Amino acid sequence: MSVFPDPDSFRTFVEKNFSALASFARSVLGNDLDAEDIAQDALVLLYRRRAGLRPEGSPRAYLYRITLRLCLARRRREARREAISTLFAPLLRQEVPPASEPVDSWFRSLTVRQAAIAHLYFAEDFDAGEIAERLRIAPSTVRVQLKRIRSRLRRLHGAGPASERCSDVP
Amino acid sequence: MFHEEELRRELKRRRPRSGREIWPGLQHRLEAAPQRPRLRWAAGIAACVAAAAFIFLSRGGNRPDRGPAVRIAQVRAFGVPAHAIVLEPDPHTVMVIVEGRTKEEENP
Repeated sequence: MSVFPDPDSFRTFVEKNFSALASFARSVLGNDLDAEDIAQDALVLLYRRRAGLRPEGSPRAYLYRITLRLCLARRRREARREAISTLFAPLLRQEVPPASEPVDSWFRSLTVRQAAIAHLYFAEDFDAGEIAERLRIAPSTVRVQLKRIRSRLRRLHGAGPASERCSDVP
Repeated sequence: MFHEEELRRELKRRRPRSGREIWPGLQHRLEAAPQRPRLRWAAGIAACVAAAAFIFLSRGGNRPDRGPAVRIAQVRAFGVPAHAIVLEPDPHTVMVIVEGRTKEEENP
């Protein structure tokens, strides 16, 4: 039996999860321009793959992994575009969309995986085990990454506004 | 920049659109025919490969064959043994190159 036997059950799922998913995508991307698009793309993919979902599995965890992959692809594409615009700087000027808030700017300074972990930890209040299960990575990796994220946060806070300007450098 | 608590507060303050707001648009996308870009790419590449193979194979049949008996040692032009035989200016024309002097060199 399918996880979403009818469109109404999927609608309930969307209504319950969309906001959190869009916020997750925004953290991982580091801007809010494409976050809702990515969240919608992930939901469409989940719906199309619903026949292959295991009834005992968590569609929400799978949805987060799809979103993370889509964000990763988007950031790689952005990086490629940036490299090309640097190469042909005089001919082509296409800039990466600026982060709209300081929080977005801080998330942008993290790697994609770190941003995902940081969001699930700080916004969703998941512990390392739950994050590991959702992103399908080892709990020890999550703990190591969390330690790095927190020390980065402390360093930025301790260093004050002078180093804030450098926080965009990954 | 941020304390952990500040970060948590900022993240909680975000207000993306709700699932209820985006549902009509999303439903429209779900009902649309599924797109298979990868399959479309594969079909396009397969068509290109098939076309290239067809062109290559169809050209192969028209190639001129010099036959088993023709050897360079047997060819002479103006009584002089051939130095080389080339298909010039097109694949259906044979040009025989002989070593010798030009008329101008013979009659300065």
